[in-house]
Parts: sequence; structure tokens; C-alpha cells
Amino acid sequence: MVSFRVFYGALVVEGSLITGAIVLLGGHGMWVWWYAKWSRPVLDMARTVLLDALQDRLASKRASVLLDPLPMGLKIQLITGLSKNLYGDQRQSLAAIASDIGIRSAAVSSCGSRFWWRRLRGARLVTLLGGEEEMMFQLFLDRNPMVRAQAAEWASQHPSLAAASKLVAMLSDSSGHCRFAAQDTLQRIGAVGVESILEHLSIHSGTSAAAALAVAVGLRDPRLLDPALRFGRDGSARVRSLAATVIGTLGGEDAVSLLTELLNDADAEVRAAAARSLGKLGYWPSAVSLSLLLSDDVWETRRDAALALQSLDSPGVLILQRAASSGDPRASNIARQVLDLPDDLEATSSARA
Amino acid sequence: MTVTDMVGAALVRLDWMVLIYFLAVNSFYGGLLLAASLELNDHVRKVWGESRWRMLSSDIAPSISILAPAFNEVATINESVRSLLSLYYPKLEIVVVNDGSRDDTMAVLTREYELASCHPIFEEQMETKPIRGVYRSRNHPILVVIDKDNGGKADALNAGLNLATGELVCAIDADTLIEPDAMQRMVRPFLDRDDVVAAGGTIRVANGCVVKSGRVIHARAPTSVVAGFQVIEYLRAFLFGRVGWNRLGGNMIISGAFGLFRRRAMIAVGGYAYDSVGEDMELIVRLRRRGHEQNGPRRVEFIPDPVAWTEVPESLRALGRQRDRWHRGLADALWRHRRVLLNPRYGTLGMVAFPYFFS
Repeated sequence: MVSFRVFYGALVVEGSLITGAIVLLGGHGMWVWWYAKWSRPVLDMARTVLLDALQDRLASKRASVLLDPLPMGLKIQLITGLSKNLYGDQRQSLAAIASDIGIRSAAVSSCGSRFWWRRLRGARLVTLLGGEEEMMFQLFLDRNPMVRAQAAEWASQHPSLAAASKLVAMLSDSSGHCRFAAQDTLQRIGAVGVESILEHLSIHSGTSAAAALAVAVGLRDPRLLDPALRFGRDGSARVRSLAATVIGTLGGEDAVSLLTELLNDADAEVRAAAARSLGKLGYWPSAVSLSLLLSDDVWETRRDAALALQSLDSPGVLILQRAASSGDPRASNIARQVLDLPDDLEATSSARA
Repeated sequence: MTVTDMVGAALVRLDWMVLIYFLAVNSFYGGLLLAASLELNDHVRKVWGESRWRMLSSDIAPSISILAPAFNEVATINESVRSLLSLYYPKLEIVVVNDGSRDDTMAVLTREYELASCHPIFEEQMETKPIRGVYRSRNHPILVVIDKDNGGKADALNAGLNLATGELVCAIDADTLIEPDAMQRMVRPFLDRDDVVAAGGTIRVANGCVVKSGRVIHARAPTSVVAGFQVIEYLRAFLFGRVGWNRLGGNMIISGAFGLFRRRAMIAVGGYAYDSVGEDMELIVRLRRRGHEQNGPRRVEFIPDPVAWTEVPESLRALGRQRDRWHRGLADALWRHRRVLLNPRYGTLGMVAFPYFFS
């Protein structure tokens, strides 16, 4: 039998843990309540002063003097809260006041911290306030992915060739978050990033080029046509598929020639991408080649081919109408769906089989 | 010797085992609490000052289809759909599945959202009960309504899954109210990692709250004791249990009321199981299992900050029925996939999560 000593010992330990947890939670709750109660009127006053300063530039120096003595946490809360709703000149005025009251220097100092969350906080504040190019470029190589991604986000407001080349390098980052941030920023900065993408595509091939091609889809820059045509014959199906999509945004004689060739690709996604692109370009001579894909093994390819035919107007619609009444159940089924005709139940079940 | 005496004697002999079990379970909970604290602390630091507006204007944000099955929801369907239409997310599709309701659910939807018949192009990858019609809203083109014969929640979700076009699918209950920025937060794990197959968010109790136009505008504690206990229970389950399991890599549950999944992965495993009581949990186990077996995405993340609100039972009887259904669903999922138990092939799922839920 368990001795009472062991039993009481267990009870004491349990009781101490529970008591400690209640004290901690209660204490934390009291602190949060007291801080909110104390800071609310202070923040309200500070917000009024700041808003007045934003309306009247002459008042901004006075605002800086009034706000400077506040605790740094409150100052940051004030500035970050207002910045979400301000743009243009007012945003710049806010950034100037933030610099005057020490937020910029605190942010820059945080960016050099050994703790990732302090560096992240500093990077986000710098993104809000702008500038600090040299320091933010260093953060592109930070060991924490959140910090690197924040540097990429900063670059969207500071587009430059140097930033673009760092963003393109980040497309192959190990962190998905960084890759997303880099891709998103490159899409936002548009033409500024094209040179870096071209340089990357000239050096890399295969899957290393895939991320850059994915960005190229959204850029629609004619300079990207040549590399896209080259990658249309790459060994990787994903790369060929992306290249076909890029080509579909640009067009040209060489483009449609390659796309027509890719309709016979071994990979279904490549065939589908080629079909979508031809439909987007409205290249009606491809209608016959597209019609062959109505019987493709893969449903998505059949769908994309049918939609592409539909977008080719009369030639494509004629082919779809013929397919709808053909003996081929797959072609008939997808054509009927696209043309919005009533289901042919026999064809539907044969297509599924 | 009476039965009571015999039981007493047995318990006395087993007292060390009881104490060891008590210590083991409490130590595990203590470890889970520590893991949850660390995870929550990291999460708060990660989201401080983040600009979610970028997601709203991003061309590469993943598209999301929200599946909302509805059966006899005439009282709440309008509020629910309004809350879905007010979500702040750029690429959204809302698929409401009217699962053969016998009340005026369909009539309310048709009237409020000016539904017009449409014929979207989709492949019926999972067989479902016959679909009577598909409709799109004239004034909210992102809203699609499927009217079908009754087949149960799993069948309705599968019908929605067939039609959905988003890269990610969010399955919710029809009476769930989602916070406007919840999707921006929920999509985060799918951007961070390629191996995430599902993500879930926090569910809070809507009983007693002030709801206007499909949004909770004033959170209040419920007046009913039964609902009040559930508020604490939900907070414990989500902010302690699931956050802790996140750190341990072993989340096995995504709430059926609020979960985000990769659509392709769901279709690859055949969607929701018709013959399961807990179809949401069973799907998660199947997704994770397939991920392990085929070396594909298998991680299930829990995000503490996106919030959805739901009504909870206010009577012990209704609560009892709900919990009975949940536990039968859990038992069913564990039994179906019992091969996972203590199987190192399935990593934390088999070696930690399954034994924990079995015990």
C-alpha cells in the first residue's frame, strides 16, 4: 500500500502547482487589466495630439516633444495603430514623428538583437517607417525565416535592382513563407524585377527555374518570351507547364508554334497549360489540335481544351457541337458540359468507366 | 465479502498503479501545457505587427472554397451566409449545400441571394446522392448553392468538394460564424510549409453573444451554466490541448465546424467517409496516414488566432447526445485505423497521438 507520506507528498506537489498557476494567471490578469486602464486615457490623449500634428505640420514638433516621454511600448502601439489607416504625405509625417520620438532608433537597434523575435519586431517597424536599406539588405540573410520574409516585404516599398536580385535569390529559400514573400513582392514591383529574373533564368534550369517562371506568369513582360520558349522544352514537366503559361500571356508566332507542339506533351499538366494558353491567345488555327484533347485521359486536360475551344468563338464552338453529338463518350460529355447542354446519361457513365 | 469490499480490496492492491497512472497523466498534461505555452508565446511574437493586408491584395494567395452543408437551417442560414460573404479574403468561393432540407432553407437562400440556375463544369469524383440543381447568386457571384437529395453531412460535403474549385477547402457547419479576417490567418501554415495537409482554428461559444448581420459584435459569457462550462472547456481544448499538440507535431483533430484542407489531398483519399459518425476526425487520420504511407503532405496545424463562433448545447440532454456522438466518432476513427497504433511508420501519430487518444 502506498504510504501516506507519498500520498501527501503528491497532494502537496499538486496543490503547489495549482496554487502557483492560479497566482500567476491571476497576477497576469490583474496586470493586464491595470495596464489597459492606465494606458487608455494616455493613448487617447496621444492619439489626439498626433492626429492634430498630421493635419498641421507646424504642430508636429510640439507633438514629438509631448510624445517623447511616453514609454516605448505605448509609442510603438500608437504609431503602429495609426499607420494602418494613413497613406501618402500623412504616412510620411507619421514616420518623421516616429523617428523624432525614438522609434526608428529602437527599431534599428532591435534588428541587431540576437533574439529572432526582436529582430522581427525591428524589421516590421522599419518596414512601417521606411528606409534603412543597408540594414534591411543584411536581414535578407537572417537565420530566421520570418525575419527574411519581412525583409522581402520591406522590399515591396523599396523596389530596386539590388532588392530584386535578393528577392530572386529568395525564390529558392528553404522556407515556404520566404518563397511566398519573395514571389509576392516580385509581382508587386513588376518591371523592376524583370532584369533579375532574366539573369536567374539564364543561369538556372530545371526546377531551380520553376519559381522564377511562376513569377514571370504575373509580369507579362515581353523580355520573358525568349527564356520561356527555351524552358518549353525543359526536362521537367512542371517547368514546361509554367513556361507554357508564361507564353500564353505573351503570344507571338513562335509562342503558338511551341504551344501547339506541347498539346502532345507526355504530361497532362503541360497539355492542359498549353490548351489554356492557346485559348487565352485566341489562336483559332489550333482548334483541330485542341479537339484531339477532348478525348484525353485526364479530365482536367479535357476541360481546359474544351474551354479553350469555347474561347475561340465560332471555329471552337463548332468543334464542340460536333463533339457533343459524337460517339466518343469523353469528348461528348465534356463538350456538353461546356456548351451547357443537357446530360447524356449514357455518355456520362461511359466517360466515368 | 460483498462486491464493495472486493472492489475496495482490489483498489487498495492497485493503489501504486493508480498513483503511477495519475502521475503519468498529470505529467503528460504538464508537458502539454509547457509545450502549449512555448507555442503560444512563439505565435504571439510571430504575428505581432504583421500586415495581413498583403494577403488581401496578393495575386498569388491560394484560392479557398468554403463548404457549408445545411440541413433544416432556415433559422440560421441567412446569418451564416452573410458572415461568409463578409470574409476578407481575395480569392473566395462559397459553396452552400442544401442537403434535402424539409423546411424553407432553399426558399430563404433563393429569395435573399437571388439565386439563378447555372451549370458549372465539374467532375463528379465522389459519388453522392442526386443533385437537383446548382445555383449561383446574381448579387454575390462567389456564392454557389447545391440543392441535393438528403444524404447526410459527409455526402453533402463530398458534393461540395466535387464542385469546389479552390486550392484549399474550408469545411464548416452551417451555423458557424467565422470572423472576417479568419481566412487570412488560417492560410498561413499552407504558405509556410508544403507538407501541411490541414489546418484548424479556434472555436468559441456564441451563446449569449450579440450577433448582427452574421458577425459577433459583442462577446459575452452565456447565461446558462451548461454553456458556461463549455466556454471554459473550449478554451482549454483549443488553447491548451491543440496548441500543445502542435508543438509535439501530433494534432489529430480538426474541428468539423472550422477546418481548412488541401483539396487535392482530400479528393485523393476519397473525401469524407459516409459510414463514420465522426467524419471530420476520420478524414484527418486518413489524410495523415496517406501522407505517411506515400511520403506526401501529412502535417496538421492548429492556428490559435482565427476564430469561428458556434452555438453549443444549453441542456444536459443535448450536451449528452453531442458528446456521445463525438466519442463514438473518436472510437470509430481509432478502430478503423488501429494499425497506426504504436506503429513507428506513422511517426508521432502512431507513437504518441494514438496511444494518448486510446488511453
